[in-house]
Amino acid sequence: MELIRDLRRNGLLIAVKALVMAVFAVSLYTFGTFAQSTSGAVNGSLAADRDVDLYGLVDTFLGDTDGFERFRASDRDLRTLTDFVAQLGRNDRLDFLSAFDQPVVIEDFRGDGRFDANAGSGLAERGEYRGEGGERLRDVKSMQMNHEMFAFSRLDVASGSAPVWTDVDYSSGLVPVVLGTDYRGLYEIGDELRADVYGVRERLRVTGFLSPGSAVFHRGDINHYLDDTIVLPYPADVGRFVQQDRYTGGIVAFAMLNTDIAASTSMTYDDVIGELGAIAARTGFHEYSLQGIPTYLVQLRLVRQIVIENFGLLGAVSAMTGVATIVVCRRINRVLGDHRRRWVRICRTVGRSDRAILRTVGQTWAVEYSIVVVLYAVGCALLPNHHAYPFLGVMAALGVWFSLDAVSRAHRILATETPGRRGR
Amino acid sequence: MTSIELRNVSKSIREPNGAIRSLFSGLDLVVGDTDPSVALLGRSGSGKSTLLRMLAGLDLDYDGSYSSAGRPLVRTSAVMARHRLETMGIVTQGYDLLHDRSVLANLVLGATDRSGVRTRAAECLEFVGLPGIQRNRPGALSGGEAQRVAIARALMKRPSVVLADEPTGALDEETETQVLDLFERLQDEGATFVIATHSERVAARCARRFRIVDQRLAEV
Repeated sequence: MELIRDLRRNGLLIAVKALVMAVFAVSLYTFGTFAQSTSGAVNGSLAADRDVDLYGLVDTFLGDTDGFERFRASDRDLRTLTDFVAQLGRNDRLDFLSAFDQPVVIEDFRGDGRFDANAGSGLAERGEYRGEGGERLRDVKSMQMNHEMFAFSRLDVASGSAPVWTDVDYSSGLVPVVLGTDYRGLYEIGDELRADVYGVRERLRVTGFLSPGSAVFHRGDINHYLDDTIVLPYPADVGRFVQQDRYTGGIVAFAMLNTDIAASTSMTYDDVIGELGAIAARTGFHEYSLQGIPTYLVQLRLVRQIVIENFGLLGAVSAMTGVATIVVCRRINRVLGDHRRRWVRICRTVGRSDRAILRTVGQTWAVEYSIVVVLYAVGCALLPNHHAYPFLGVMAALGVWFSLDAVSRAHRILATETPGRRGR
Repeated sequence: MTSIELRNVSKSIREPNGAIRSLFSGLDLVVGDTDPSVALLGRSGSGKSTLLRMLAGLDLDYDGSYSSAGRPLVRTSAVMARHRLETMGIVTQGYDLLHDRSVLANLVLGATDRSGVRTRAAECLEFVGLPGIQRNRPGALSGGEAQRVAIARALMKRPSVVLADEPTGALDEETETQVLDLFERLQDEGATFVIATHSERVAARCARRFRIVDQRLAEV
């Protein structure tokens, strides 16, 4: 009865307070989700120690199809290429960041159009189609990469494990893969996808799933997201693969070559040329060209600066909102306390214990706090960004806030004077 | 009859300017053993309201002992609240009625038992001479009526002791007489009254009168 009376009398104030607290909680949640995303980016793809100079490595057969075919037809030439790739991979001064986004063909694919190779590219999606044997096929996004690229990009496997690169052998017919986070629910760890990789039938065994928002630097895109992509490791020993399958091995070796090299900013362009020249001299492969990618560093620093500035801005806004919320809530608490004062005084005078009084007013507080939680949950549900940890973190913070709020109000009630002091 | 004893009470208070002032020293007070009514007289600031609060168990910050019916009580907020709930009715100068609810709802606050509360409220209002006003709002009552409703609330639990702090301080002479007549009728019903007042006229209606002098009580 007292609860209904209280809600009827103070309903508007309680609603305003609950709304203010809920808005603050939602803004805190937004800040939390942004902090989670940015800390991932700043510590990962935008990390300061990724301040490196990037160079593009390309073969010199562009436009020279005959020369390319002649090269691939020669075992000796192909061996120079695979040796070059292998030695580049082992070089201590250069990071050989090999990645290529050749789609793979998956049979009986469980996903939908968003995984299509052309999805989001502006090109028409091919969609599902039938193979020669009538099987259902789809070209899906895939990123082939070596271990250096995986490590450089700080890709994190949220569940399962990363492929063991040294065990990757395309000629075995079974290749371990990591799937982007959007694949969760479609495939499980241990599932095998029947695929056509560079024209070779492979079984792709799922070893894990990437964390949400995983990205690599690819073709000038500083954050090329992999959420809808199959990450396929390059073979550990492309030379052996070439020996077993010269046609496909040649394609893979050239794909691996056409990639990026990361060098410390202390190395000059001539240093990098010299390092590559030394490898070329040892292996006999000279059909490459080096291109600087100055935009990489500029983009990286610019994006990082924007992210950090926005983080600070949002943090400042959250802090100010927090202060305003505390001020408003304290003010409303004071008014609500004043409305309660005479009732508390009478209850105490007639002999109700403090505990009984707090139990009665606590019902109103519980309603108030419940409204805040509901508004907060609804607000978060309406937002596009959904992250469990910030949500639960803010929920825990609200719990602490409610406790402090209740203690403060209880203290205020216990300090309420009973009649009689006036006439002393 | 429930007797209440305060023995060897000493209490100091902090003045608004920060100075410590001794209010009582070695004070003894026994109410409810033989006399149906006791008046506590004193000038403003002498401590009569404080003494009433100590009797009510609302002020626990003093040295000395508190006994009820010959049994010492531990002076904790919870124990004294229970004691107050079981034995005491309290009437204040400012009536302390809630204007956001009816007279009946105000009376219900003073009840210890919810069963038969409406009947008991009607009886109490009848007793104080205000029958049938259960649905009225306190804001619509005169000062005398409001004070009588406050008395009715104090009677809801059938208290053995009624503590009244300047109960007629805001009333005109005629209404004051009505209230004091009411108190006498209640004494006839077996309740003990302790009234803190600065009015000699009110004190004259009590069986015993004490004045606070030199931090102790002196019977006058």
